[in-house]
Amino acid sequence: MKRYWVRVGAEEFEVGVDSDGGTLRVTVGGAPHRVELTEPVPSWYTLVVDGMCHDLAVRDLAGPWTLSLDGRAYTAEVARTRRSGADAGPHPSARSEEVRSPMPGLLIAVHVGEGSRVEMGQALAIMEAMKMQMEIRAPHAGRVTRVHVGPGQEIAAGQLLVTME
Amino acid sequence: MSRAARRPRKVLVANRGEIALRVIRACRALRITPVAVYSDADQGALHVHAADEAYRVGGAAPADSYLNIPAIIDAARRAGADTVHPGYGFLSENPAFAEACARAGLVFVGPPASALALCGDKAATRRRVAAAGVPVLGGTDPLDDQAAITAAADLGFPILIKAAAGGGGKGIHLVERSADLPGALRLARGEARTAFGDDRVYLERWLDRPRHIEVQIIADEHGAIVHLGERECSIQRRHQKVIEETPAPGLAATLRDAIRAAALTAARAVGYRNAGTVEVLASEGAFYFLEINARLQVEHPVTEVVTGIDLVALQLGVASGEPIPIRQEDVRLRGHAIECRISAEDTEQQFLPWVGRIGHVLLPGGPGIRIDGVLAPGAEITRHYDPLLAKLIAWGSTRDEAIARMAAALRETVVTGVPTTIPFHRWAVAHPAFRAGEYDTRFVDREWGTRRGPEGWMAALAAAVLAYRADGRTPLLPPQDVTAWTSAARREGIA
Repeated sequence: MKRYWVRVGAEEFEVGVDSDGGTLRVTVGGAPHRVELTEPVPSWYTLVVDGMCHDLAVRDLAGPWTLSLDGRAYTAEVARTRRSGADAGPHPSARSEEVRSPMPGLLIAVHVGEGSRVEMGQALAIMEAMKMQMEIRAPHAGRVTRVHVGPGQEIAAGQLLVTME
Repeated sequence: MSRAARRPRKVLVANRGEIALRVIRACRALRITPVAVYSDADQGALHVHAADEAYRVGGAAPADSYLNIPAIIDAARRAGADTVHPGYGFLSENPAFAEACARAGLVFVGPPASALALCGDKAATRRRVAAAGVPVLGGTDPLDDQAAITAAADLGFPILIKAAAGGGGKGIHLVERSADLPGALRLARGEARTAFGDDRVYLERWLDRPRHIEVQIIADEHGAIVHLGERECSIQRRHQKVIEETPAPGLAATLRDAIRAAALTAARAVGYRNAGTVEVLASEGAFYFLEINARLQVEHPVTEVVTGIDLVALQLGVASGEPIPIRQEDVRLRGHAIECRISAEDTEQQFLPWVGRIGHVLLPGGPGIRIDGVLAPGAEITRHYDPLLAKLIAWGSTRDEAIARMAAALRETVVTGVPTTIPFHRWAVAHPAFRAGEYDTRFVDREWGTRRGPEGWMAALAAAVLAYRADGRTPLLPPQDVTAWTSAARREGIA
């Protein structure tokens, strides 16, 4: 029996996995489940839990795993040893001081410069992808300390655009 | 007036993606030679593969290629094409392109340039259609920001901003509060400028719980005009349709007949020719004319499936001067059809469009299932074009059967590499309100946020099982090198 400690959002689950070569015997918080994992096409799985089929895809394995389970996105952190007490608390979310691109696309305009004071919800920049434009808004009131990108630049999803304080 | 019908021999398809493939298929059925054009980003695209001849028309950006009128006319000349089909989007509703085709001696598959120009001016179309006795929705002519702020105060909130040259949901913004109006005007104008080269916008009254209904019409140059029933297109996100069906569910017979009759009146009022769509909003037993889409619509397959008519073939015939081969009383709508648009979008992040490379693809099948799409494994999705990958169309003898077939087809469909709207469609077709046919254009805004996914423990189980699988794997064998045989052998404990 292998043991995993999996954090999903603020919750942590202890999961045991054992195999006799066929169906997996899995316990989550002590509750037993019979599980099959098949891969009809690479990186796309059918997860059968107690006879019920679920779609499972792995979106990103860098850092915490991003999984898509029945079309819903989950972030899961898997540890193979139990976390110490200090480490076991809720995980701090991405720092709100960093404004990142929600999608890949072209940066059309930047409305702020270093030192700009902004209100919550104020437009910081405009991005465009597939002819759709979108305002990137300030997550909170504050001051812009750094602008990392410029108009005309191709931006990746998750790329750092603006740092605020 | 009318000239002798001359059937097209060689058709240049001035478009890309699934609609280019669709037009090529119609050409094949009519034994017409199809010619493709492509941008630098589309060298390996499926529409190029499907055509007999293909000509490069410029760089990846639409302005350099699919909107490049001289390059497309030149390609038609080099190919010796006699006809140009513009598909939808790009140059399909551009009067200057229709005129350029005429000057080059090419038949443009669509309405005459004069009707295109009129339909492209939404305010002028509305005035013309209202004068013919069709009810229209309250709104303004194109106006500047200052006038918009004054006019919005008169019309009341919420209010819609629409691009005067608009289409395809681009440049449309719903504004709930007056404080949001200046920012929304800026975005709408920016989108309109990029998409249509024209940043004029106008305001339109917002109805409560409206249903978006549209009527497919076809008109020939001999004065005949026929409708092919209506489509219900209220399932929208970002003011773009994502699910369409025909016939419209939950529409009283008298209202349905009135909308169909008004569509014919509106089309006649603007001197319409060829295939077009008359859009209306229906709310509380009344309806209001919105606009005429002077092109083939993305959602045309549902109409084809219930009428048994190849709309692209019909367009080509009418464009070459033939009369419409059917009379209104011969049009029979058989059963029910639904279309789901599968796009590269992240449904978990406000349906944001996505770029990337398609990994693997599994397509559905079975009775009543049709796919119009370009889902090629390994194909690159760029930010230059619409993220529409495929349209899944399900037919059934009843609406319930069509929904059940659609649900099954969505279950079977797999696309890896980029997120798609498939999870959204699976949720939507299972939703009680959709199943009951009781929904309006705010359905997605209202209901999508309330959906439930598997509980956290299930995600933890999934992650642990994936980790267990990774731990058991020989590190020398990267996952992509594992064949079905070796993974089966590993499961069986042989390898």
